Amino acid sequence: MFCKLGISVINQVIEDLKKIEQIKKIMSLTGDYDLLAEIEVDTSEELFDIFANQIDLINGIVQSNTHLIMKSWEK
Amino acid sequence: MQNKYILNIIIANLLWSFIPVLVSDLVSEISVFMIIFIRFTISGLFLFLLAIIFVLVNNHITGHKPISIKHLFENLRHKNRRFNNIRNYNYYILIGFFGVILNLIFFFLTLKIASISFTMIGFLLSVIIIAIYEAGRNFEKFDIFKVLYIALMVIAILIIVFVSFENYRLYDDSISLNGFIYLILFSVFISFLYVGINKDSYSKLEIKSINENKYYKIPRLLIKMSLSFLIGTLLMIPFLMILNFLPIFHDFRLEIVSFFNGFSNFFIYLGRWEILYLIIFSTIIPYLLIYIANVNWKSLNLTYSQWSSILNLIDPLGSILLSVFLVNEFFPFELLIIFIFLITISIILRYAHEVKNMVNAYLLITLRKSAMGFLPVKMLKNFGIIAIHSLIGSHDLLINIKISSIKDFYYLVDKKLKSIDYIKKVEIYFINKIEKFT
Repeated sequence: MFCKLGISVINQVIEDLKKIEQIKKIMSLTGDYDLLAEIEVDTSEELFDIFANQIDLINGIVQSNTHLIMKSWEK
Repeated sequence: MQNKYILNIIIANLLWSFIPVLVSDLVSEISVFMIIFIRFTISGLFLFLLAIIFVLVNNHITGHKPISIKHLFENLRHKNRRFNNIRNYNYYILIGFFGVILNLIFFFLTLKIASISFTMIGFLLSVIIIAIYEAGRNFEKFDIFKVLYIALMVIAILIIVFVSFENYRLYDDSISLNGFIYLILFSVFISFLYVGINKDSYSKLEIKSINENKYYKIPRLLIKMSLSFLIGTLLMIPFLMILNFLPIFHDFRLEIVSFFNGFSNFFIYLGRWEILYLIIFSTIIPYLLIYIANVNWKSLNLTYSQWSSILNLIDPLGSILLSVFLVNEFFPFELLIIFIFLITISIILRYAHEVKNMVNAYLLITLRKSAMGFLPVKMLKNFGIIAIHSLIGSHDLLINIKISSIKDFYYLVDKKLKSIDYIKKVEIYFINKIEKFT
């Protein structure tokens, strides 16, 4: 999930996101988006729950762009 | 998890630091070339056998995806794009002969003529040689950290030189010209090893294999090192035969004669505890430790090879400390403390330099049609790309890049990736800070 934040809220948003157990990685970025959060869940129901009941309630996230990872390659 | 595998690198370097103390008396009894020949022939055979056993266990006992031995050997013909596009079997020949064998020949010859401390100058000098090479070849910047750690290396070298000359003055001795020449050659060849060993590249087929089974890397690394060792030791024989006919230093010629005469005592030498220690604790175990670290490395910040190059100063530091405390080599206590301090600060400065210059970024890629099936594996071959994720959403691929300079980053993005026709759009996001990582 890429997030665009409001002004001067990054630290608070990071703290709120850190509390969500399913968010495994949070990175602050330079670019069009301010944060990248990696979320790991087992079901789409769980994904909905995180978004609807936790992430959506965080003040400071102005815009988000979420992608589902289909497959990964590493070396 | 990353901290645990840093320990592997530290332990490997500590095990290597015992070599000079072990070998310093051995070289007066057995030819230097014979010690190297036995050590790397036996280690090479063992590591090769271990690779085959690992593959058989993986394929028949564990539930992991089978590893093909045929593919492992087909890899030998793959062109190494990071090493002038030469085939891997040629790359292993160069690493094995010039990087391992010649480096150790001159290392042991220096040990035979000079003190352990003096020999360690070779390691410190190689840090400076590599820094100059990186500045010249890759236009790597000389930032304040790099300037400082090179300056500290120079001071550390001067301390050792001072101590060595004091030692020779006290014992009414001197170091011969041979010693300086062997030291320079040792430094050049170990620099070649450090630079060359990390210039490995995976083929498309190998990247597929690694993603199906991450343990594929272990037999691959074992075969790489075992073939480098075996080819290196084999080439040593004609090399020494040819050298014997050339005008060389007298002590060098004596070593060659002693080597060829020593074959009749091969198995006697093999039974000596020092040789067995060299094979098991100074070769097989350290290499296994670093392979395990390499395979399991989760790069939070710096890569495995960066940590390896930062921590390889532990080897010469350990050797000097062991030489002072175990074989009573001369090294004034105050200067020893200063030396330890300089090396420790160098390690920290080197870490700071690598972290400061490290570029960690994500690319969001939009592709044209029909590229998703083959493009990710093709792109992953490029140096600096750590992972590629195919996405459902407004973009098609998320690429994680970790590379040691902004120049290399832009080369990768502008010259390598943007030139791919199938890529429609590239968005770059530089990672400022990793706030959470579990």
